[in-house]
Amino acid sequence: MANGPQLTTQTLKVLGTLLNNRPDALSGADIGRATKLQSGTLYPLLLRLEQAGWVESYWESETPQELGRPRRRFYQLTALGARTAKAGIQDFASTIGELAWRRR
Amino acid sequence: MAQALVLALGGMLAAVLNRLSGGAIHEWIPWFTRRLLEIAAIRSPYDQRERLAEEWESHINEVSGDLGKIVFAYGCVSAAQEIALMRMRSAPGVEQQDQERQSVSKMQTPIQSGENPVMHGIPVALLSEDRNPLTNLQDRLRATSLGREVFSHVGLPTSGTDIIIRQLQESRAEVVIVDVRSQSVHRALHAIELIRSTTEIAIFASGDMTQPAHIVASMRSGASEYVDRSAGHEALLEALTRFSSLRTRALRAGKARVFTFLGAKGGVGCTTAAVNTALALQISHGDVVLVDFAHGHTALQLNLRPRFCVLDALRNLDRMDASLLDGYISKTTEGLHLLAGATQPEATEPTPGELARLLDFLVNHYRFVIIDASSRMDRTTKLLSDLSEAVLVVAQTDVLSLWCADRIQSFVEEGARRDRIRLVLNRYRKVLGFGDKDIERVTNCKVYWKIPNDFYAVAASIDRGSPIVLQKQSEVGRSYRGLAAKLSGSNLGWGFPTPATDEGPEGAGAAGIAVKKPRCPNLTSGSAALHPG
Repeated sequence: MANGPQLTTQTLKVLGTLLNNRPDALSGADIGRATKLQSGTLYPLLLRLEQAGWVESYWESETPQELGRPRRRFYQLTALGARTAKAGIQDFASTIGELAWRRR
Repeated sequence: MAQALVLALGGMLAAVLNRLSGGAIHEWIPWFTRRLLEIAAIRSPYDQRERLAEEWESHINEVSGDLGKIVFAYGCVSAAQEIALMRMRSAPGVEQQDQERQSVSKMQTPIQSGENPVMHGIPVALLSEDRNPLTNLQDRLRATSLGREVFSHVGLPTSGTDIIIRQLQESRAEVVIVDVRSQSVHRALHAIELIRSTTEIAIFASGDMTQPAHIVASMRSGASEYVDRSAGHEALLEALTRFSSLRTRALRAGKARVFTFLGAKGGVGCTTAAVNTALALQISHGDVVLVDFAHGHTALQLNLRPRFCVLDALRNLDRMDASLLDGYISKTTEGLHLLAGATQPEATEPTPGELARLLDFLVNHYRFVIIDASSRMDRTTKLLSDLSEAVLVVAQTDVLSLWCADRIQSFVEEGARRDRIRLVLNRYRKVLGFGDKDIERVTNCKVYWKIPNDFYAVAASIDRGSPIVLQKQSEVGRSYRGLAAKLSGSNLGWGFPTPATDEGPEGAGAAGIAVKKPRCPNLTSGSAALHPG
């Protein structure tokens, strides 16, 4: 935790979105839609989370030729990321109340 | 960034107009967004480029509306910038740096070995089908201090058009280490064959020494070394050292030339000489980098405001590649690259290994490396001098300056067997009864060049941030162009003509520089090294 990314509002939004959809993985576009984060914020954040080991990512299994479009890259929380996300959201909720975007 | 902003604003304007007109502008939008995404991809770190480009391309298809697409694409440019900055900021911690310094300092440096600077920091790519062996390879490579990781991937290429092959080529790796595992030996051998047939990268196989069949098969497939997986980093270091010595011999002919400028004492015009000579070389030959190991004054003279300095480059040597170096470099409109000097004092000096690795990286990317060490007299200066092809001591013809030049000569040449120090006499004025022979006798250095005195013109050019070499009619500017021509044209030994050929630069004409005879009458006599006709 000490060396991981800071738990900013944007980070919590992304972690919360991934947590809510666990175990399903989400593409960058899905996360962008859910969090309303712009690409300039979202992608550096996803890379930072991936570098910290909180999130892992993988390509769609089909090739672009089969899909007829560029492949999506999917993101999902690791066990460490899930623990961190739960702890972060709990801390946040205990301070200022439940997060509006969190699924009940 | 400005280019992207202009494009984005243009795109937004086009989108608005499109809404209003609904006409042909609609066709422009894809071009705008595609161009923005291309810029974003270019600005991304090379190892993330392919991934991000494909991911963004996929994402933008799901964004609705032309304006939305443009905003998204512009956001990607910002994202790329941010990701590149993240990479630069994530320098190793202080403790790790200390450990690295200690391990680097144990290496035999060019100075210790008494030889010319050899290859340090070989760019290495790592391929393995499993993450754990890959991590192990990364640790071993880091421990060697000789190789630097430029690309690593979990997975092996399966065909000649595999994206891994393309990424290997783009990473500019000189060595690729392929992990050969018992359970997937055929895939590893196939990958080695593919890499050998599609790239010119040297291949090392890393595997188990208890499997002779794997060793033989790997070597037959195209691996030049087979490294014991369980032998720690020493075996890898040995293999890289063998590769380094072979590569150094191959590259020797094509390496950049390194010239270090030293000031005999403060205020003699050393930085001015380095800046103007570098700029003259850039204009005549191109591919020049000026490295400021002094006080950061070069940036002022070139009217640049660098964000990073040479210390940033030294701190991030382990991850240095062309794109990262480009981030640290400031560029003039003439195309001269500047690795700016630190404006704040640094507590720790770079180690011989770090300096050697930085210089090695620069000589492989440029044609000329000009170092401004000014009047800095410390271990770094000595190291830089040892790593340079030639050291030009800038002095004036006053007693104090010449006395200091003699001291510098003793300091720099101490323990070295090379004769590579020459005098550049700045603000030259002839003193009756005290000729070149006397100067050479007093300083133990040969006079290489004389720059006429035009203090006010030079001072004004410094104040304006426009080096005097850019003034075509200036006597001093012409002199610097002549110095650059002589440096670039000489090809005898360490780059200095013998006294018999000292009359003029053979390469001056070839370099396309018009070096006229100086008009200043006091400069036209008494010097064999004076401006060539």
